[in-house]
Amino acid sequence: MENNNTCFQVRNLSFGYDKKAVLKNLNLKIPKGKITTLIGPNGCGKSTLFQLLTKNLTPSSGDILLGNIPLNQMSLKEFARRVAIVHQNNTAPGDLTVENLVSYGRIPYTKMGRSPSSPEDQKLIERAMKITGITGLRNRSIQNLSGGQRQRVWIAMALAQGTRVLLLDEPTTYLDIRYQIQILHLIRMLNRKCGITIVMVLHDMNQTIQYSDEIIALSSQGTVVAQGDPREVVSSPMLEQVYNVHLDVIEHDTRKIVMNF
Amino acid sequence: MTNQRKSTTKITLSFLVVTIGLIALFFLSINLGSIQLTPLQLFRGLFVSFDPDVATVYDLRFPRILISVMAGASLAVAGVLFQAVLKNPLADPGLLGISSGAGFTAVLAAAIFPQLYFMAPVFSFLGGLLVFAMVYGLAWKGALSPLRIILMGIAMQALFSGLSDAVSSMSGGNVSGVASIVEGNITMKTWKDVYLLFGVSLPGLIFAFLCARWCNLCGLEDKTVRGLGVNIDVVRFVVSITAVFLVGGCTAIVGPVSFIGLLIPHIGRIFVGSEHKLLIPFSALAGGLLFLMADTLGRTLIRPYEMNASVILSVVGGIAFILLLRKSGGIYGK
Repeated sequence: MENNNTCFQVRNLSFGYDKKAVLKNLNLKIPKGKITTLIGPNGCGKSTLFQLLTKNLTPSSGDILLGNIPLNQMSLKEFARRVAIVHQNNTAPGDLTVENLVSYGRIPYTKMGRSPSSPEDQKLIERAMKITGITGLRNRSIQNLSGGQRQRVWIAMALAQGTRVLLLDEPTTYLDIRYQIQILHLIRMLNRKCGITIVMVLHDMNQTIQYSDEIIALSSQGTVVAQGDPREVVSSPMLEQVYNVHLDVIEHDTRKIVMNF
Repeated sequence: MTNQRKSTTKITLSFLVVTIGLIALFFLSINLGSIQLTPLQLFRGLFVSFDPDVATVYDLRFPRILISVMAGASLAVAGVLFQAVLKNPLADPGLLGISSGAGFTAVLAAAIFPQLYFMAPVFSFLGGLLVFAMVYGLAWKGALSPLRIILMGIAMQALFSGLSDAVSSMSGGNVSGVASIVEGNITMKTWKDVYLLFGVSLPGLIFAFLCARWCNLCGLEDKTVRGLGVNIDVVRFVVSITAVFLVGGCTAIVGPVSFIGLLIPHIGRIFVGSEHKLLIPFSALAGGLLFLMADTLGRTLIRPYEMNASVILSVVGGIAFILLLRKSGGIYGK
């Protein structure tokens, strides 16, 4: 039907904690096959939206469709076979090996209590480690990895799920600039080479412009201020509406650069 | 690769040491006391012909030894499960108040319906469940706060051990069934108790081992586990019930015992790591070894008097725990 190019469709979505409404009557579509980034000020509800998209919260009203299926009609396991998630602040037992952690990505395909061990599982685990460049670290424990390596391991675990959709919540937070760029390059490669739909939350405006095909900007009231190609929609007035602060936007070659000072 | 191999050696060695230690202590313990038996005499007495000395040992020391081993194993494994599920290295059946709650209902049942002795594990399981539900319910504020859980557990422990003492005082303190549960002593245990404890603990331990993979998943953030298609709430519920079941069973027989469920999982993680398929069996062996050691020491140190295993456990456990915390910064010091 109409959903051929839509990954997620959010319809009349409302959500609140206790009595405080965070999102009111939100409508939006997240396109298939692209990199979509959610931006907005702290407390605008983008994390809440992320949790709603990942079935960690249930909407008070309205619904979210994945393809044509409402999320609330999908079991956690079915969802995990279609959408992989890299959350912020991940923890794992320090002595767990990289390979073991990546193999957890196959859990959605196993019966409870079984270890993932089919040739198909092993193939996807190997592939996930190869793509993220951590094959050489497979026997290392998590506690002996750098922040950037660790983030790549979490992405590898998500890739091992073999999904067409990958959601990432602030994947570059707490990483230094070198690792930030490494991770963003990896994400772009996953989209361009493997055709995986990416939905992520980012804070840095310039990285958002540089690495996204589409941005969705939420205001502090939890409404959509703008959606579209960042090179078109990002502007000084739009940023002022989103963040309530004046930022100059300059054009350099065909790029837009936000002067964030 | 070399790293991996080294740790495999360490794990194998650790298992070997506790297993041999347990077997050695088992035979040593049989032979400690006023009656001494040679292995040959023991074998003959048990399997070939009647020997009055062997019969005495069989009726008095065997139940005690088997109960020590099984209770130690159950408490240690319950500790592993609680620590996994609550993501809290301080979770221990004693500290959480589960043991006291279980002890209280067992004492209460023993005082009111002494004829229902064989039902004691059921009563203490219900008591443990009640306390666990209260600790969990009261400490839950949208998320598990490790600190609130421990504080709530300490409050429960105070409340229910006080109530147990009250019941035992009210019943004159000389009803043997009631008194023995409160004090956690295992001097007067018989084969009947052995069957009861094994009937509860053995299935509990086997099920705990089958939960190992679930316990591993508990080491990740809840939302990560959900993202892998696993309903973490169900996992937490099932594993918690198993742990309470184990505590209930052994509290009904040996009374509330602290520390073993805290200490053994920590030792286990140092030697075999946090993989629960290894940690659970290792903790069972090491828990059995530690409890048996405490009981054996308790009945030999100050002969002809006896000290409760729980007294020894508190002293030894306390010291060992301080030493461990000083050494093992790498595991929880992050």
